Amino acid sequence: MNEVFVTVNGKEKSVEFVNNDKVIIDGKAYTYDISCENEFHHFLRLNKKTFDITKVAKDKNKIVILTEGNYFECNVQTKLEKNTETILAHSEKSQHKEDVSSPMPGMVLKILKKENEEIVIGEPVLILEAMKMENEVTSPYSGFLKKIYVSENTPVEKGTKLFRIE
Amino acid sequence: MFNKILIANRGEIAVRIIRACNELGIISAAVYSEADKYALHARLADESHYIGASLPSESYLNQTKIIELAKEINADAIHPGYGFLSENASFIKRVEESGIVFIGPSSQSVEMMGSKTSARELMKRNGVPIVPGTTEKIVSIEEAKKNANKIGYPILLKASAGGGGKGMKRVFAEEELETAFASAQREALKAFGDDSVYIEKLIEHPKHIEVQIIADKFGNYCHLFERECSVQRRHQKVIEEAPSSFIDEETRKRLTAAALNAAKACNYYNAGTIEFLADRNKNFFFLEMNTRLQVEHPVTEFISGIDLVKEQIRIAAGERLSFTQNDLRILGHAIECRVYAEDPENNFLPITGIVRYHRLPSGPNIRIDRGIETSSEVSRFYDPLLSKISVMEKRREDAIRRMDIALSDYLIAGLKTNITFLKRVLQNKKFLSGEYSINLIEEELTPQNFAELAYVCPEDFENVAAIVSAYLKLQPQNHTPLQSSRSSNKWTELQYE
Repeated sequence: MNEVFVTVNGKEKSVEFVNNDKVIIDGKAYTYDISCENEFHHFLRLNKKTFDITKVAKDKNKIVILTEGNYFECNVQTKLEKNTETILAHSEKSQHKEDVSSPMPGMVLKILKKENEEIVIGEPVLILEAMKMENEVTSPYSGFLKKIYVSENTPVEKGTKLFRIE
Repeated sequence: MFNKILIANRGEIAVRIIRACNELGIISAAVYSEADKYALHARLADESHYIGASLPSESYLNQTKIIELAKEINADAIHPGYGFLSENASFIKRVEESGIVFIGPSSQSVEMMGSKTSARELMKRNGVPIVPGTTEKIVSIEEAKKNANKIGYPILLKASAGGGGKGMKRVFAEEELETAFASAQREALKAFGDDSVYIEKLIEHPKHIEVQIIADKFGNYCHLFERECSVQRRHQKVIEEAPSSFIDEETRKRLTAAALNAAKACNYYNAGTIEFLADRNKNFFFLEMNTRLQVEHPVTEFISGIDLVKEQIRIAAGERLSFTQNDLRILGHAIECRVYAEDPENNFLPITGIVRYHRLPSGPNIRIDRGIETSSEVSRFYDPLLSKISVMEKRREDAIRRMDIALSDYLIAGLKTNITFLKRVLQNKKFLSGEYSINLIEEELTPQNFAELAYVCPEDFENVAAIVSAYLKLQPQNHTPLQSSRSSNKWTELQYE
């Protein structure tokens, strides 16, 4: 019931809290203790070593952790969520379909691609002007540019949908 | 000495200047915009004055308001910091005419160095080596093509009024020129209100080396050695060090002499920096002069033992330099890291947000310059620089180690920063060897490299991240604070709710 699946650095780890002081990661047991100073600052004692941890940001299943100068973007799922996802993945053909949103408020200066064009990961799709600099917004996936939601010379907010890759 | 100084800036540099004022017993007057009402600089100053809306043009760039305010509050002098109005010759002229002292060079010196093309011309006449290229601005694409062919590809397009990489484009072949030229003009126009662009030969794999100079109004000139600032992303510096491990004693002599010549050529006084590009054979070329205090001044303060900001204020007040060239020695090796709210995995795009938690590193010879703390907002209006960490040690490798530990001790929540990225640079083999150029980041530290580096991250940390995130997932409401021990002392009666 207390098993959680965490994907960190592309590796999936199973984390299971068995007692108040014991955690099993991928079958290996550790003694642990967690305290929090406030919502954003936690201490984790793992065996004998203590780690200072900041919770940088949290979004439903995504938690960003900073410890010892390393950022970790953790995708966290409970066993139930994971099972549901597996069922869903079988019911529809799992493909990368995703909207790419603007990482910054700014202005769409130029659109470099056309709808339905094939896109390779890392290829620039449009130029966004922010902080007086021109920034290329690249595609995080390979696929087809299904839809462009914005037009040239329009301002966008952070999080505005820019285009869709399928 | 001055009685009151108005600080026409914000963020960490305003805080830095307030400290210098405090130490000299001068009243510090800060200005703030709407977004900065309770920013650190506005809280630390002796007086804080509202000057307008959050857009820089409404506040920190509003020349009339700033000068009027300075008169109204009886400020004797204005310190501009860096950026904003610091290198604006017409602003400096207005300050001079209003009878207020500008803490920096004269408007004439700034004017002479302000346009990159005329500065290149001036340097050429004064025997300071410049990068081959045009000394006039280029207005048409035909002209650009003609000059580019004459100079030979690869070339660099640069904004005459430029700085900070805005309006700068590398061009490797003629077919790329037209797009790059148009883009450079657009950026230059937007950033500086002037679309003049010129062409330089692109020096491949150069190092960015700069010399700090300082002069009083009596014609005494000193240099405070060089800084190396080759670690750059998007043409902006991220890590700076002093001295440069690449420069030997003989080269240092030639380099600092050229820098002093450059300063004398424009009758310079106050603190300034002459930037050079150095090629692999230790030839160096004048790049530009920054007629102001620089972001990376702490590394020079570390290795020289001179407080540049206090010295700037004394010089502006008409005092002589408090030291001579012979008093100066290189005291160690210093490094500065700029901590930015930005996403290194996504082309270093700036990130906005609120700092939810902030714990700074500390220890021997670790210095922090910052404009933020817990609950500060990093808005889209201003540069996303959060803080600067500087360290010094006797040897470069020990300084790097000290910096690495300092970065590990830095905790900040609420927004993502480049801390991990900075650590990766410090661990890079080329960086460690000192044999790196300004292309280091784009050649060795791209997101593709990060993916590989992620796998060498100690498994320990990954487990730590996994446990804590799993814990937070299962107990989203778990914010119970640490139990404090209830020992009996006189404070136990005070219960803070």
